[in-house]
Amino acid sequence: MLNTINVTVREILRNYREVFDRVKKTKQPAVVISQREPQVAIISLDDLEKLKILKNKQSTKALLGMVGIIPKGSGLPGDLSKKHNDYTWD
Amino acid sequence: MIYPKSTMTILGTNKQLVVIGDTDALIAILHEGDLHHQAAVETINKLLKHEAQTVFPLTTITETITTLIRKLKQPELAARVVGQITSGVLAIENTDTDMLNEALKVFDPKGSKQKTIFDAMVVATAKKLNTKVIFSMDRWYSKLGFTLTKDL
Repeated sequence: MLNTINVTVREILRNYREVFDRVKKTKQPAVVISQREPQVAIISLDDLEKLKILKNKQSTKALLGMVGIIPKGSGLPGDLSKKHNDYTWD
Repeated sequence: MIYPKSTMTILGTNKQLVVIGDTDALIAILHEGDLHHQAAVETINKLLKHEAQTVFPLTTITETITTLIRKLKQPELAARVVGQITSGVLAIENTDTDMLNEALKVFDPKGSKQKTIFDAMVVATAKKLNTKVIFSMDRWYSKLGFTLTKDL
C-alpha cells in the first residue's frame, strides 16, 4: 500500500524544504493539490528510479502489443528492417 | 541464465538487463511480413522471460517513423502505427549534445553509408545507460563489443 501525503501549492511556496525533507525521510509521495484537485506528485529519487525501471520493463511488454500491427500485404518491402537505410534515404 | 557483468545495467541499485532497441528491430516487430519478424518476436519473448528493460533512443523512434511514413503507402495505417509508437508505452531515452559527441566517436562520415549517425546514437545510448546489449540484427554492433539480443 502506497501511502501519500497531501500538500498545497501554498505550503510548497512557503516551505518547500520541509516538504522535500518529509518526502525524502518518509518515502511517501507528496500529492500537490491545487484548486482542490490533485495535480502532480513529488516523489523520492529512489522511487523515481524504481518507476523508471518499471516503465522500461513495461516497454518490453508493450512491444508484444505492437507485433504485426502492419500486416502482410501492406506494401512494405520484406527486407525493410535489413535495408531501411536504402529505402528511407535513397 | 547468468549474464556477464558487462551486460548488466546500473540503473538505480537493481542490477537489471537493459536492452537498447534499434530501428531494424522495431520495424521487424511491427511488420508481419518482414524477414526478421519471427526472430524479433522470439527475442521479445526471451526478453520478457528475463524481465529485461527495453529502451529506445529518441533518434531510433524518429528514424523508424520516417521510414514507415515514406514506405507505407497507406496513410491511415501509418498514422495508427505512429500513434502506437508514440503513445508513451515505449521507454524512450532523450538525446542531447553529449550523446551526439559520443556518437561521433564511432560514426565515420567517410565510411559505409549503411552505418548512419542513427546507429551511432544507439551506441551512445547504450553507453549512457551502461549496457552492452542491443536489440538489432546488425553485426556492426558486435564488432564494437556489444551483444546482440539474439546472441544472449
